[in-house]
Amino acid sequence: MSSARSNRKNYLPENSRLSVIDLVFESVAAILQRPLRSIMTMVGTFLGIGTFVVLIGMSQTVSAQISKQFNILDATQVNVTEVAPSTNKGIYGFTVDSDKDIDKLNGVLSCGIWWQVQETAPVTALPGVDGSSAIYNLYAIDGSLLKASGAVISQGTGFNQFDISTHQHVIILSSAVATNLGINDLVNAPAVFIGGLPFTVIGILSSDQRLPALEVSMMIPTTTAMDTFGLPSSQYPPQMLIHTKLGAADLIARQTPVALSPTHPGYFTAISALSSNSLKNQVVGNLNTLFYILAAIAIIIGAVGIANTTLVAILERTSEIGLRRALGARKYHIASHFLLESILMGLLAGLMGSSCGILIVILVGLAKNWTVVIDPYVTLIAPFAGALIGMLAGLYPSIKASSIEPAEALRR
Amino acid sequence: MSLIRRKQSRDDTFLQVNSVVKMEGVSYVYKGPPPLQALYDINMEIIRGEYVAILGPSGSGKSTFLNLVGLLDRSTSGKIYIDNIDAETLNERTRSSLRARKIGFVFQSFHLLSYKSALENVMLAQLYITNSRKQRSANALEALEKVGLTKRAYALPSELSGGERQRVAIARAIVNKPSLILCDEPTGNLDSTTAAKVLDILDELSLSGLTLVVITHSKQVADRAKRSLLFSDGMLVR
Repeated sequence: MSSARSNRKNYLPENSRLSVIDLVFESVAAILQRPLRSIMTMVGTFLGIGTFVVLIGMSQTVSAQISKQFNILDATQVNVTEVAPSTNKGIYGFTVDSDKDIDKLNGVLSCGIWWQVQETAPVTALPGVDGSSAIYNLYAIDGSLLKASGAVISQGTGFNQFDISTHQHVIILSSAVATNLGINDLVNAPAVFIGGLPFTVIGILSSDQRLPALEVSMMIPTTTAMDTFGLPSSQYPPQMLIHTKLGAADLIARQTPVALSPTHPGYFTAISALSSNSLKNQVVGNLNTLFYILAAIAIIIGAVGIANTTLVAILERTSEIGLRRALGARKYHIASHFLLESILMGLLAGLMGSSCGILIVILVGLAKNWTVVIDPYVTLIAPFAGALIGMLAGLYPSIKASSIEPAEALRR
Repeated sequence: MSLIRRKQSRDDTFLQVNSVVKMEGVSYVYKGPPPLQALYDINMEIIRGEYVAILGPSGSGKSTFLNLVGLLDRSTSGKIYIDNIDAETLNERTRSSLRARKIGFVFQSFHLLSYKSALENVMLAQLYITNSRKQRSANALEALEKVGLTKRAYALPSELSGGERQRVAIARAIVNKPSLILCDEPTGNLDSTTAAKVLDILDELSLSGLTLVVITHSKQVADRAKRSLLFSDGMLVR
């Protein structure tokens, strides 16, 4: 029995084989023999990987740019909030001299107190002024806040000492609110009505660097706010914004609670904006997510393109598949051959796509005078991502190619 | 009981040493739909060194016969022996190997890869047998020499005449020194003068001891063969 088995084993020919080097040669030859077809197949991956690199590169460059802008603001800003309930010393948690106490600290450029007035009522413009009725956020601010927050008053003026000390019914509108209320200028001293109470518009705020919420709001003096709407609520406690010299924010943040209340520094929490980068991180994170989604879509489109073109190419090469099978190629050989072609085209397309992508990011960076930031891993990984796309996209067509029966393939 | 079975198996495997192709009760049905029986109970044998012409009208089953003998397809029933090996019991991997080493194909439409030179097309037949590129090249040059195409070894198929292409295909078929060469209308796409030259080469191969099976409609081709088999409606009638 063993003799029969060994005879039979000896009698049968060795299995067909295909070395890796031969496989690579065959695949490269097939790619080169149809240059136009190969280029068309690679275009999808080229665009996908190129777009991926551009999007990632732009995302990182823009993020760095945003961080840079944020850092300048962050390094010069301290936010102070009240922890303990209001004391009897002053009109609210902060004393009337709080701003003067803080101004004395070395490194402070300006500071101001503000809070959101809880109770807001519909606002209408003065009869005769064309406008609409709506509800807007109303803030109470002291005379120096707008300077500390880097606000820009495009028309009129901010609150002066007279407005504060005499509790004047004056108001500053953001340009967005003014436009909505139909107030284009202050020539005729327009007024608005909040819950029926008139307020004379003395200024229009066009932008605010540190308190962007003010750009869509209305502002009245703190003294007027307390007269008209009462003390600040616990929901919207008063806050102090301190504008410091560059690099002094952390030090000022440490000194502020003591300066405000030497006996009870724990009543206040002062945080330099540099140490709380949640907004920046959120903006950068959202931006990155958006870019990653776009990059993924670009890659999927590339993969579908390469799969489709490979499938069509295989249908065109059915007779070659039949011939190779007739010459002894196994199904596995056919599948590996076509899969390797697809992988090599993906790799090449990925290499070209990532190169072009990097070039585009650099050109944009130069044009916008930005510091170009590209993760080196992206540039290294991108070509292999192209190969991976090629492999995934070529998987089904390769299996299909290997399943074609040789007799049927030769008939075509 | 098991000893008897093993002995039968051994006897089935090692038939007459002179038989290159043997069919026993082979039938083939195309699955369709609708199903179509292409071959009915074929029994035949081709001896080593024979030159056999397969004749018959279109649709008579000649190509199906060639596909089965060439191990490009499996029969629906019956047994096929190639070089005394029961090919129907083999798995796909072994059949591929058997096909590569024992059988050479010559097709009517040449089936040369347009992006490979004559030499590379001949080398392709050894791609799945030997890893040595040098050895493949030497063998391919030797085969091209046999068909008188040494000087055209580096020409692309598009640079070759029809006759030269078919000679390249013949070189590819013989490069592995197979037991059997299957030709499907080898002169079907050639003019009579070129066809005669190709047939002369086949004659020479036959005289050298190779077993040739040629499917043809041509009387000129059939006359050169030592034996003719006639198919009609899927049956071997002569």
